[in-house]
Amino acid sequence: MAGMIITVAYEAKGKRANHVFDMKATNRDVYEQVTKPLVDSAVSGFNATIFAYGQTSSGKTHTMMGSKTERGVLELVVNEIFDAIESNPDREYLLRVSFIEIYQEQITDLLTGSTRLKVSDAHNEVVIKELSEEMCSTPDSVIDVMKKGEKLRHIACTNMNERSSRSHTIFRIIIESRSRCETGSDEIAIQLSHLNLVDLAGSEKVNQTGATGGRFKEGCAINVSLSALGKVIDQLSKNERHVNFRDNKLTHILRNSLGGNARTAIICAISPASVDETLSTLR
Amino acid sequence: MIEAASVYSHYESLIENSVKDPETDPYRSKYKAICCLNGFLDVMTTFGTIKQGFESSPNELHILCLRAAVLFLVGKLKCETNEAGIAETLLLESLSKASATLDVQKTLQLKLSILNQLGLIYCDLSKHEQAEGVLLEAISLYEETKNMSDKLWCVKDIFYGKIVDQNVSDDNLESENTLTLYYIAQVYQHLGKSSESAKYCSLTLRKQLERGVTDTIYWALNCATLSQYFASRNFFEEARHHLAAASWMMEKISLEVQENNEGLERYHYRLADIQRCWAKYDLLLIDHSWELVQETPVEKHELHFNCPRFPEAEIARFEDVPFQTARTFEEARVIFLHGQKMLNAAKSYYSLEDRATDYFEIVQEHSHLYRSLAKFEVDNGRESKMHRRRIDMLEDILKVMNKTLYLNVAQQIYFELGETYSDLFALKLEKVEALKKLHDHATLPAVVKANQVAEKAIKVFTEFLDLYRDKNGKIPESLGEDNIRPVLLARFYIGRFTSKFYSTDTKKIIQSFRSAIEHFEYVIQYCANSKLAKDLLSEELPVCTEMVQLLSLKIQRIVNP
Repeated sequence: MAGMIITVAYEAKGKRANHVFDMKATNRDVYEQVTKPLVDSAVSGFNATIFAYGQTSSGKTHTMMGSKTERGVLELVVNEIFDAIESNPDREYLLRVSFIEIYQEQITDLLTGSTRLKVSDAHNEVVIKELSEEMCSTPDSVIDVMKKGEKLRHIACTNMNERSSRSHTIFRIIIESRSRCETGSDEIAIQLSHLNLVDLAGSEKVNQTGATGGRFKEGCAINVSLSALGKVIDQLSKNERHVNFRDNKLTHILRNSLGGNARTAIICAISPASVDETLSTLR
Repeated sequence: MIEAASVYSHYESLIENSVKDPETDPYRSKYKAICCLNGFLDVMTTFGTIKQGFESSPNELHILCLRAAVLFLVGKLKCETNEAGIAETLLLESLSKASATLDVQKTLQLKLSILNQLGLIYCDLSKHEQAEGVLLEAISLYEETKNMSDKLWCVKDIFYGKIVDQNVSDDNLESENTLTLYYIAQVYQHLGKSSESAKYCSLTLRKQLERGVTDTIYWALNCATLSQYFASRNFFEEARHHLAAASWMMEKISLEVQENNEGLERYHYRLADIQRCWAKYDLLLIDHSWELVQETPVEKHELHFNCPRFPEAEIARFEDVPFQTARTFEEARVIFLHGQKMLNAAKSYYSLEDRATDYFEIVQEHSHLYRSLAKFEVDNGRESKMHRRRIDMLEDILKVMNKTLYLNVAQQIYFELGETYSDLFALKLEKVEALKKLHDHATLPAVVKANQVAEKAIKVFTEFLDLYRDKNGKIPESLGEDNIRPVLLARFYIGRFTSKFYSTDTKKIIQSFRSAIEHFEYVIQYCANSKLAKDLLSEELPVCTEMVQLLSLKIQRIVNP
């Protein structure tokens, strides 16, 4: 994948960390150095993707969605888009937004709740059939759409323990624009680009956190919750099986944004106890 | 006077509230509870007596018992507030006081709780042998209760001076025992004693069944997963029993799941997983059977115990596949058919439409079942048919697979397909040899067939290698660690097939030999430059060298007869 890779706090085996943020860094710092250039690209007509990847408890949702005390990357991105639009008065812009969740290779439209959407390859473009899109004309309306989608997702997640940590979401902002200057000409070139915000599933190893989310110190402590019996048994029966990150629908959909002229940033969120995981994240 | 019972209820409510403690002060309620309990201890020391509610004169032994109980609760709280060292001291003191009361009825459950807690602490301190010790003590203590008729008090009862609720107290006893089993299973895992760990996992599952299972699907899945441990160690009877238990549970709950839509998805998902576990069992059984038939030296695993069966008699209904190893093709086939049935069932959830990656894996598993069964088949023709079946199913999925997006899977499937053609080719050659011996003039069609298979094999391995080409169509000079062996093996195989290509045209033969030599030299060259490759191909490398020599000699002989 072309693009920048941002890692937090760890350098290993010759992998160079382009930017390193310590725990005191704010979302704003992450944003300024990482995502702003991508947003500028997107507004100018290039596809771009931002990934957040890391373990469930590492803070990546905080980085993307923000909290009461700090604005998330999404909000900063959206504000930036609208600022860029305003500073280009000689172009007309149209914004559309879609939001999907991928769980076990099944795609759900988080705006309507439809499940099992199909993906098709058409003219070198990857299209999800019957995916709904909402027009947005203000920053708040974009945030509202995401909140709406998150709510729907939350409902599905409460039914299955693993779903929230094992599914990915893609929030796509489609930016269409054309020049205002043409007078009555029928052939006006339209610029179209996608900005994808991808929240990747947690990467925790099966033998680490228990179902309650508490930390299971490897090699030492006992997990006191019987709900983690499955993890104990799994550990016993592992031969050479290892957890594979293999979700092909995800890469399929993002194909346009991951190839060629697309720019990509991956934000890897790492918590201190998981240095091993970080290595696998970097790979 | 402080009533003991009120102390306990105060303790209970503080523990309940502790979940609401703020992140900045997470142990606030627990510290309060410690204070409260310590205060009570002081009172007991100062006043030498306590008010027990309606009991007239609590004797000294009861006070001792109460002290032990308080020390236990404080110890437990110290454990939860990260003071393991102090916790250990308190718990040991509590244990000795409890024993000093000589009142088994009142202190047995308390002692179980103390021992469980000590188990946790010792693990935290990485003292796993000590953890094992206390937990085993807890297990034998629990065993003693089987012969007792007395109703045993739980910790709360000690504070109330009587059994508050018999059901609660009884339940508490069983609950503590379940925890003991669960904890010791983990301890054994840390000690590297996997079969003991498996035993206790099984006992925990059994205990859950006896007490009533809350998450039935999870229970079934755990049984099925545990069976894989047993199967991989060749303990097939135990493996089968656990799988049967899983299937039994899934059938048992199938009706209530239908009514509840939310659970339906998860039910089908896990049912498919259990079916795949069965297929894995079948595969391992056939493979192990073959090992025994071949008298291959097999690592002998010791199962140090008899794994007790689950009490439900109904489970036997699901044990309809053998656990004994097969000695003949017919016996192996029975196991094979069961595995095939399971995989086909699993495909209804893991369908090509919805879950392609898993579907591809299942097809591979199916191919492996055939491969394992084929070893038992003695008839050349029938064995060939089996490999043809494998070829068909593997080629079918390659047709629908997007090889760029499913690269890893494609690599595996191509390689397996190539190996299948290789197996088939060996059979065709056998046939040719057999016909030659009979001086049968029908060798030609057999030879043509062998050639066709060889061609196909070369094509497949070539397409396999194409998957590794970069944008410029070249295979990178340095392959990743995982890729070295498959890529070099592919070249090796191509070399082999090319060298065996039959023709009456000497020019073509020389061409084939030369082409084969090229492939073998590639392997030799790569291994010369990479120690890792040399290690990975330690068996094939000498063959390459020999083949190069042999083929060069053959070419010479043809050119200069």
